[in-house]
Amino acid sequence: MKTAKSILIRANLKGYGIVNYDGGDQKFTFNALARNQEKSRFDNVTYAKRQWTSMGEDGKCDYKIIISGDCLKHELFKEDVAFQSPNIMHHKSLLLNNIASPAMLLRGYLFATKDQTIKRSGAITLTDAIQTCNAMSSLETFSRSGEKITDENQSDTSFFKKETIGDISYRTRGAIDLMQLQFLSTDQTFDRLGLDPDLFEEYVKILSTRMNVDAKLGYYKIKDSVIDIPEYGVLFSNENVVDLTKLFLKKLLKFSLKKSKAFADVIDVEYKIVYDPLTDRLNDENGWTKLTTDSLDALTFEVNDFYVPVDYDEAQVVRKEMDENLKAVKAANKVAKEDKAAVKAKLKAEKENNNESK
Amino acid sequence: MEKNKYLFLEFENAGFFRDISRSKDFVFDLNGQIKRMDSIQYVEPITVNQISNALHVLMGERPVPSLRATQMHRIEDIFEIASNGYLKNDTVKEINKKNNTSRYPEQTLTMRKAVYNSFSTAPTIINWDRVRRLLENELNDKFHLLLNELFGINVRITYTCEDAMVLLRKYHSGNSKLKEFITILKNVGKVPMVDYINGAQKPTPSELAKDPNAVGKLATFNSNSRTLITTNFGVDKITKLHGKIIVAVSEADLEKIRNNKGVAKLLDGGLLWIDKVVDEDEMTDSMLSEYVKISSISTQTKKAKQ
Repeated sequence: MKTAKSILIRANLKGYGIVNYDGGDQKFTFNALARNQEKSRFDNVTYAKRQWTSMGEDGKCDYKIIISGDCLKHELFKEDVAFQSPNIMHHKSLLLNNIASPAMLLRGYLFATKDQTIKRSGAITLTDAIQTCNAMSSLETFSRSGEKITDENQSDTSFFKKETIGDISYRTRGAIDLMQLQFLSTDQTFDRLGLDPDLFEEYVKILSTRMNVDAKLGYYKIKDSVIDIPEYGVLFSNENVVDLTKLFLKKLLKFSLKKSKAFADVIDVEYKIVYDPLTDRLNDENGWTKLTTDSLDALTFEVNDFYVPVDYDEAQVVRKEMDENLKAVKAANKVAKEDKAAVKAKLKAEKENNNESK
Repeated sequence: MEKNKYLFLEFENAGFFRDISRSKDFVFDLNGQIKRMDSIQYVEPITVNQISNALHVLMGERPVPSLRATQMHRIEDIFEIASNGYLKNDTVKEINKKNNTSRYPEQTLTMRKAVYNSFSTAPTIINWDRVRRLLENELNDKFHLLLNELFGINVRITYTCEDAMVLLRKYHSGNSKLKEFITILKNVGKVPMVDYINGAQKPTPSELAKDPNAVGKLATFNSNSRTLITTNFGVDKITKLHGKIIVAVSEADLEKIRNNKGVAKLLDGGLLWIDKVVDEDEMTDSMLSEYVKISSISTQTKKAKQ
């Protein structure tokens, strides 16, 4: 039976105006690189985010307006994670309420204190949405009026410039990492501790209020991996991974980014289930399926088993050996360090003796 | 096994933080926590280590940090494949004709901070809640009882903290009970509150010139760890890179790739995917034009903060 390894996605967006602006420092890059464009030496100019392409011999470039992948991700999940504060690391319930959610399983997270770091890589990768039409942006002049209190000799009206554009279309591509979705590490060894294993029961209890959870805590190892170390973690069922995938695709299908004077909406989404990474490729036009609300409901696939369970006792033996070896290495390092310090002290003492005898 | 196939990979959006010398972030590894600005970083944005990690993921192995200490070790066979591969970076570089240098264009990015002790440098108002945090419950209750007695009303619901302090200084500064309370505050080390009640201001340069110790009279409320406002947002600059990679692989390597997910991340949030597989016989020199051998890319590191 064919099993899904990952899901490739591509989406087209249509909108009006600029929805993702860049920082003020862009003026230097813009003035240096932009071809056939009005330049400005002033600071009160707001530039759009862009990707520079095809540099000519004159050192000037064309560009495409973009919506950054980070902006897309933020908008996709902002209803689920309204506010992110690292202070929740100091409150167990708040922390669990935050991380035990489908959005955090998809998006990933990182919370750190001096004592503990918990992190999970996001299962979603989205590239910048790059302009696909030939619309040209321009620096439009705006005015703002309001009483100035800093300098009474200055006019109360000020002018500023902002990059604007009319109708615009974009395209973004990405992938859903099913291997990442399938597993949540509770193990420090692999530098990806995503949950304190002692909190597993509470984690599942909270997650169950948000989705049907079928997850098992235990030792697992990556199938066919050369590194044969069992990793303690949570393995989610096939149904859970499919549900999470569908949740993300639904969010993407309904994506709508609204700003005060601009917007960008997803108009169509296509996906490709990767059964064989060498044939089901992102650049290949074959095998893409258009996503609709109906087809999303009917979407189902069998997820590849990336992880295989390891017997608890067997895993304990391996981990115990690892810990002992690690202790031995640390002890040897300590001895070597002490020896080095003793030699250094001896040399210093000899040097001092020599100096005294002189 | 003979590496008789060439795997063509493409990547887009590979994020690289070029300047971390002013970063307030931290790096965590087996050796504990260090400031990111005290850590080291590669001079080149993409080196053999990053490509090796992407190949690790394509072949179903875990990526291994090359600059942070972990218990994991890289798989040398995969590192070798990356080392013998080729890279073409298609990202446009901005050339500075004045000093003949070049750099990749950057985007400004809003960041969520992972560590909570990033203090807000903006001046912030002092309110009843911050006073409570400084004084803690028992002393705070005493303070409110005193204020209610002096003003004859429930001060907390009548005035803002700032307004109440202005009135307190104006009409009750000589009150013996207030002086007594200030002595208690001094004895338990709540100097920021004493400064605040007395209206201590930041000394002017001329005052400092007369008395260097005037620094001690600073209103310390905004620098006390108990009452500091922390911020969890920041901005940083990121460079987004895109390009292509070619690596020579064997049939066994391809089989490993076939059994795994076919996509990987490169640097920060970059998407790396398989473009095509070409037989050794079909490879021509022109296919490798504009590519650089990955082993020739410098893996030199530099201290983030020079």
